[in-house]
Amino acid sequence: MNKKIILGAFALVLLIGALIGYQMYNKPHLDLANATADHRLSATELFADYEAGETEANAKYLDKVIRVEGEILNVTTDENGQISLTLDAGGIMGGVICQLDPELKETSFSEGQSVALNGLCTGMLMDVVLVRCKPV
Amino acid sequence: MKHFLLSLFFLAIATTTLSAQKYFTRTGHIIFSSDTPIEKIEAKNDKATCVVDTEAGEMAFAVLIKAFSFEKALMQEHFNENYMESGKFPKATFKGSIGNMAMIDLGKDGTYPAQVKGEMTIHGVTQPVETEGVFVVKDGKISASANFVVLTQDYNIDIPAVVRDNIAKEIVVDVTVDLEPLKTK
Repeated sequence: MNKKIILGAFALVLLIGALIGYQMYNKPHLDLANATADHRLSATELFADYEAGETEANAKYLDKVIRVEGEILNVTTDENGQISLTLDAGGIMGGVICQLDPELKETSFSEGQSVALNGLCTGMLMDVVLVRCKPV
Repeated sequence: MKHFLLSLFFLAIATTTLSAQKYFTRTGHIIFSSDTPIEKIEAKNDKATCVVDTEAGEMAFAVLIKAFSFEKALMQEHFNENYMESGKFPKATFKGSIGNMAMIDLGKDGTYPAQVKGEMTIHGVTQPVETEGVFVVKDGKISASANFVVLTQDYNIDIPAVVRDNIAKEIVVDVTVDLEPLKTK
């Protein structure tokens, strides 16, 4: 009898452990529409901070949820349906590119429109690139 | 008069080829995959930049590590925090030359194999790389692609023993870019 209880308890612990493990393995990506922004600023300010010093800007913004506001310069959809918005940041060669969350397959965004988006900052190449962006 | 027209014609050709010496994109695609019997892991990045200078026969790539997107959030986290240390090394870059540039005419439709040789920097480690890519020009649109293998140990990327069977030692990288002429001001 006792043996059965111990065995049963053991099996239960194992099952719970497996379930937790499975859930951790499959944990979802952060939903940026409902995430609290670590920084709120305009596309121009974000770009200017990166222009002033990439290392410092990376230390401040990398992997953080940024709520960025700006005017759309262009909207692109690539061959895989991935939509990106480039926000005007006052630079000649670069701006702030917001790659939208892959779930967002349709867009009503248009050039010249002012938007506010939450996105994860990944750094700067020619542009500051935010990914998984969602409008807020 | 005939000579004058002829020289004007050659001048026109010369300036058109001169004005399009550099090609560029900021939306290049890079996909890498790790394939083991236990698990197939794939990640993609659609925001790689690439510049090709046809006159100098040079090309350069840059990509942000944190912009690689995985199906599973946990894998993305491990990739960034444990393996690539992308907080410390946010970019991977390649800079190199095209050995057979003389045989490639991006102004003319066709398929042109390209011998590319250069240096790649990943995870703060720079290694010489040599691979074959291909330029395809169709209806004036230029695209380039290449695929090659990256060994994690070459770039001091340490995979812990627990997941060593889940992650391949040889990572296959696929690069595809659509290039536009770069307008120089």
